[in-house]
Amino acid sequence: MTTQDLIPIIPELILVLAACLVLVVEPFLKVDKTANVAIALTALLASGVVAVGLAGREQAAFTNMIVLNEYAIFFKVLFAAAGALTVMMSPRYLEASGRHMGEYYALLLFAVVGMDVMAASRDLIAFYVGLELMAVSSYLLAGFLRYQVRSNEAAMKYFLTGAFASAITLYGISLVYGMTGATNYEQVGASLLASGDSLAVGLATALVLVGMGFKVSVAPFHMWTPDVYQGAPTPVAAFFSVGPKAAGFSAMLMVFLTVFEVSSPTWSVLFIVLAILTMFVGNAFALTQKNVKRMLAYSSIAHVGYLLAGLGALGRSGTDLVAGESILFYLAAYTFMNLGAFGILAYLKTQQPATFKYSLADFAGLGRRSPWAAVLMGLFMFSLTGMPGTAGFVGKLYLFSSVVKADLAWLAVIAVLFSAVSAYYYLRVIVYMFFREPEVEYATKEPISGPLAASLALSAVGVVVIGLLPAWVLDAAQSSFGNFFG
Amino acid sequence: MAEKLLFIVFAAFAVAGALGVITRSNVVHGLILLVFTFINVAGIFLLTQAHFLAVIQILVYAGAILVLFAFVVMFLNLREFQQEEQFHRGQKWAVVVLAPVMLAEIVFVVTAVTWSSVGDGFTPEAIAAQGGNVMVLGEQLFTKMLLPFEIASLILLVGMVGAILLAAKEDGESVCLREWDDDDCVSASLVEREV
Repeated sequence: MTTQDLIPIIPELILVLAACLVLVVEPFLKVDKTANVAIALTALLASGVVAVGLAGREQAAFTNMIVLNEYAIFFKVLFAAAGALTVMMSPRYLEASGRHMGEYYALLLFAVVGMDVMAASRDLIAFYVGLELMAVSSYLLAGFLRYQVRSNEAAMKYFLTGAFASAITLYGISLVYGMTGATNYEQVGASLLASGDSLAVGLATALVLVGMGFKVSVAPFHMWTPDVYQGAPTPVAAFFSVGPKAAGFSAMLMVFLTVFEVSSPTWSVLFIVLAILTMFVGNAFALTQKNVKRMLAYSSIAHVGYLLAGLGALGRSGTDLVAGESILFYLAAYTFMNLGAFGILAYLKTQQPATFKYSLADFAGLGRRSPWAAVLMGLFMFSLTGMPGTAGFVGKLYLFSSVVKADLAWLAVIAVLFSAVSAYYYLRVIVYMFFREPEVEYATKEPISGPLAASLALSAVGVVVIGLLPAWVLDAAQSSFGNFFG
Repeated sequence: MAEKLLFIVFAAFAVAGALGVITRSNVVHGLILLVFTFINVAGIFLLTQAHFLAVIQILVYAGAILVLFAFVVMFLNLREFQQEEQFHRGQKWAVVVLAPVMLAEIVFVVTAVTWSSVGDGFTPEAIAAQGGNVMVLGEQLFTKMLLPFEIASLILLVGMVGAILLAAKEDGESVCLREWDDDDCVSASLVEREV
């Protein structure tokens, strides 16, 4: 190791130092945790800014364990943004739940470090430890409200399924190592290409796919998702629905494009089948939900289905990486709209901690009660549906057209049909907010906390800006794959 | 020849022990069989010249992790636990069908593949020439594997923070021995005074 090796991991070093600082400062704080919130937020912003500043550099570090390139930087910035928005929506919620502790922010920072490592890794071992760092932090965040049965249940379910998923992924990795004697993506990929596709490679591909499928909640490995999202503290659920998912996709894209290049016909078919199943399960179950938090959990499964269709297309299209670019773009768009939607839930929960149960009925009359929250929720719902003018529309447009380009027009048609179905449960929230009278009149509310308002506003700005001026993010997504085959 | 014989003995014991672990309904019996399995796996490591791994296997798995299991078992109410169904009746058929399929697939793959057993040139001879297992492993860990090693230390830190977060007793918190029975709830301060 030389000091040069440290340059690619500066964003992560900032986050690790800040997380340790949070842990050290925590015992000195009494009730007011502003200092720790500020440390976490500053670190995430600094990490994002530094990552942007490193743009244009191409460097492998730590004996090719991780790399610094446009692809890694794209995700580092995305994860920093997701983390920062989550941190901003957390303080008031945690105060309301009576468990506002600095450790929360430290765990969040560690999770972001793990995600960064997953996106930047070029070695199966580095990828795996990054995955575990993210996962262990996530289990703890899910169970952060330790006196609430649902939070305990969420942590337990997340931990058990996560542990199984890790074991299955590891088994696939061990098969690959046994066949090639290497763990570096490029070396393994080249070695497997030389020996050709075989049943063993197919089995390893399937095992890694299933393990990662658990992590990003691909049907039929999605069972834990609604329970975990419902039980976890709402800001944490917001983070789960975007952060670990995007990290899972960042690693899957790289692993399947490089390590399993030889078995791309196999995994492409697997992804297409799973995409259809996931879109069906996510949308069908979201339709029946009366609880908005659970509905958003199932809808996040549906969005994973759309992304899987993109992965299936990627396996078909050879050296044309447009599907990969559209996946990156979709992840960016999805991050803002879903964080925003969960942010509104967190806001409403802090307003009426006792009476607000996330059910649809609780949204009745919101348009009159707090018009701003209702309008923003409406925007996020429109975006999740894919209405023109929002980030969701552009994301779906690019994603589905890349699927069409890979000669999978029928799959794109299925995806569009499922999106149309999704309009029902997204727009139903809007109907309740503006056209239904509440059964009980709610007491007047206290003012929204500054950081939460900022988080919601930034999410909304993200949704609108990406929706109207997609070129900026699209350029970043395209340059991420710039010299992939070069 | 002797090596082959030893391998068959170790492997047979390991598999038999593992089968025992999942078939015993008494958790303590399962635990003891698990130690037995770990020790036999350590024996297999010894046969492949991986002496350091064999020692680690016994220290970490047969030692530390088993102690952890023993603690958990002691915390649980075993008598009630034993009477419970160990798995869903409705899912039995799936086990009967899927497990043999998976096993056949793995056996087929393992026998069909040409394994590249000497990745990075780590043959037993080469390792011995470089100064033995500990030396080579240590060098790899702190050079090539430095980054994963450091990240693993972060995972341990997170685990430690999490353990405190989930288990540490807070001021004024009441300790419920049985959640459903309010009479068993005593305040934390009371417990400490009694001790």
